[in-house]
Amino acid sequence: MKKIINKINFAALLLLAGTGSVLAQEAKKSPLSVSVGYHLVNNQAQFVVATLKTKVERRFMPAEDVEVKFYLDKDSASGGVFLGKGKSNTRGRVSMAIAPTAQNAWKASADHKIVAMTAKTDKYNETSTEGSVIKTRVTLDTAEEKGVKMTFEEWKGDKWSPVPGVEFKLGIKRLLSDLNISETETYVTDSLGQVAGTFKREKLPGDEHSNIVLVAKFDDNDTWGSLRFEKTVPWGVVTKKEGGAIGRELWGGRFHSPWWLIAFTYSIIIGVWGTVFYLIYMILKIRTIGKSISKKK
Amino acid sequence: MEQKLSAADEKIISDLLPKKFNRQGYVWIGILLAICAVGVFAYYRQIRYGLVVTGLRDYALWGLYISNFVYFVAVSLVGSLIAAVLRLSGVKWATPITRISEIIAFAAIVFAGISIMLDMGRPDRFYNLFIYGRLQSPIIWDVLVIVTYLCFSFILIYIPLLPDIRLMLNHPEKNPKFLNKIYSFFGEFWHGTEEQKAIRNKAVGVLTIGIVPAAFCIISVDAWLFATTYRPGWDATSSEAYFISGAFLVGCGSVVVAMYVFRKYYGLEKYLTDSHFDKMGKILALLAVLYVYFNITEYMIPFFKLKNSEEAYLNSLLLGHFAPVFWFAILIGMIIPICILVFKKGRTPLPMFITGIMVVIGAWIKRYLIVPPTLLHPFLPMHNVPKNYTTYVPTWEEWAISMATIAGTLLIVTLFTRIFPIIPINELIEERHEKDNQ
Repeated sequence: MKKIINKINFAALLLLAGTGSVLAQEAKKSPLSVSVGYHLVNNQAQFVVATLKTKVERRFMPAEDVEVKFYLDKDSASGGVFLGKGKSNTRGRVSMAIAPTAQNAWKASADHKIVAMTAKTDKYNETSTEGSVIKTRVTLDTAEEKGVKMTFEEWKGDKWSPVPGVEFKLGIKRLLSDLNISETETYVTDSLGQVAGTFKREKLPGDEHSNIVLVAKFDDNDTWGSLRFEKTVPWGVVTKKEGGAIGRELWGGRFHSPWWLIAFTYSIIIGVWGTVFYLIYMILKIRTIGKSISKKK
Repeated sequence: MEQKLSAADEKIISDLLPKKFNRQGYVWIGILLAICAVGVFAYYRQIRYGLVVTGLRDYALWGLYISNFVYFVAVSLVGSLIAAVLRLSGVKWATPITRISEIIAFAAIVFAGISIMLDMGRPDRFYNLFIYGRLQSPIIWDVLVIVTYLCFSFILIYIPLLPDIRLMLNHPEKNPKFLNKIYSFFGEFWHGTEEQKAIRNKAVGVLTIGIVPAAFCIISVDAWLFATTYRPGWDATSSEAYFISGAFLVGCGSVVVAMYVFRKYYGLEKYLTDSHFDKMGKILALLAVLYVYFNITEYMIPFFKLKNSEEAYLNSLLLGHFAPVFWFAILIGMIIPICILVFKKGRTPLPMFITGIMVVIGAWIKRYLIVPPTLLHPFLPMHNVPKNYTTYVPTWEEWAISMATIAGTLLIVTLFTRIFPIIPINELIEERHEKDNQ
């Protein structure tokens, strides 16, 4: 009897230990926060971006290498469309384009819901986040000399309607960021969904045709997501590429090596390989002499 | 050979003609082949799955393969030191070790070229280097000098070998049939006539003069591969001299190791004497001192100025992460060898063999320390990159492939000793006759 009791006790201990470790594993899981946003570039490229964060030592850090599945209108009557899946990068971000295969569902309604879902993993519990998308568009009118007129509209019912009260930035695209077109930091759309700004960046370097790229944008708007619209205008100063030694610099292309380098290198190659061929000639000479001796013998 | 051979000459010939491997020899060949086979399998994996199987990433884009390449190029310089510099200086005692140095140089340069190919993710695109290569790029110079030096090294072995091939053809009963065919192909036409000798001597003269600048070119270009790339640790003006001095040292160390092994294995005590070890020891000590000097200039000047960009690199190399390996290489590669070699007893065969091994290992580590530490300290700090991009840990595939290249080099040298005399017989006999005539 004692033996049986001991066995039961042992089994209970094992069970407790097992449960404890499972609970410990559950407790170890970090919280995962997922936000999803809609991005529109040049009224054409549409994509959704999920940003994943986790808490590490009381600080929010990007959650890397977590798989996220994206759905368009998942809870709708049609069951929605699976957009695709991806893994978060080092910045905890995953982006997914709204592919042509989802265009029928996209066109069916003026506004949509994007769902980003993560599965249960060793590190995190499963999550599901929703984000709303409203169809919008931007037009940039630059007919007036150095004047920028921008119109922002949303798709309502069956037509485009102006959206008032949205804060925009108007700028010029530079190498690593955008430069404002004037001292005004931001512009808010009026009742016609329009903002007007004046281009005040005189003598701004453009390309060889004086082109610069105007930008109208906003980032992470709660209702509209992120939007960027670009338009090329000839308002810059022509930049001519400074040529070095008639275009034959050390950093030039293959057929633009400097003359002195070509002459120097080929003279070495000819000298050295001339010696190699001379030595081969000598070997052949030894061989010919040897062969003639063998024949005589 | 036209001249009459004395009994002493016949003794030299019978002592030095290539001999069949004994059991130890076959075991050695088996080990080398096994290492090569593992390397081939690892390389198959690298080709199949890409360079992702290596520890190479965006920052440390050069690793073991390029370190090996630099090492092999350095070792190959010994051919020009022993066979050319000493010959031009009229040094007669070096005759028995010329061929050892020449074959080491040839084997090393073959695998230097192969090491570059190993570092390529798509070796099948190698031809693009010739189609699209820019003359301004040190990579193109490197390809050119390696091919050139390979040709020079081959001719440097081949021409002095002609009389010895004739000797072996004179003793066909001592060789397997297939070897006799090889000898016939390469040297049946050599009859040792005065005319042939005159041409051969002239060719050797041209070679010994020609190979010195070619060898210096290959090491200089090797140094320029790094020096022309603007990075902390590589931005030096004396890198060519630093590389050449280091190359002479490691080459010399390799020859000493090979001398000891051949002497022991083939019983060549009469030909590779204690005096040879003593003299090589003196050369080795001198080269080690020279290399210490160039190491001081290489690190002291940047450390004195301590530019911001160099600070992290130098700290990591001299005091930080790489410091134990760095100081180990300096100690076993230079300081301890100098301490051993200044004593006469230190220049006897066994201590010389141990010293040679230390120099060779130290030199390899030194080449490794030229490559990854610099690449892991870029001018712009590493941000937002996966953790494994910030370090470099070679994978087993890289080690296996690298070991296979070293085994391949040893295999070439080993098989050469089976086919051809490792000590130039004809030159020894000629020198003996010259002495007798005097």
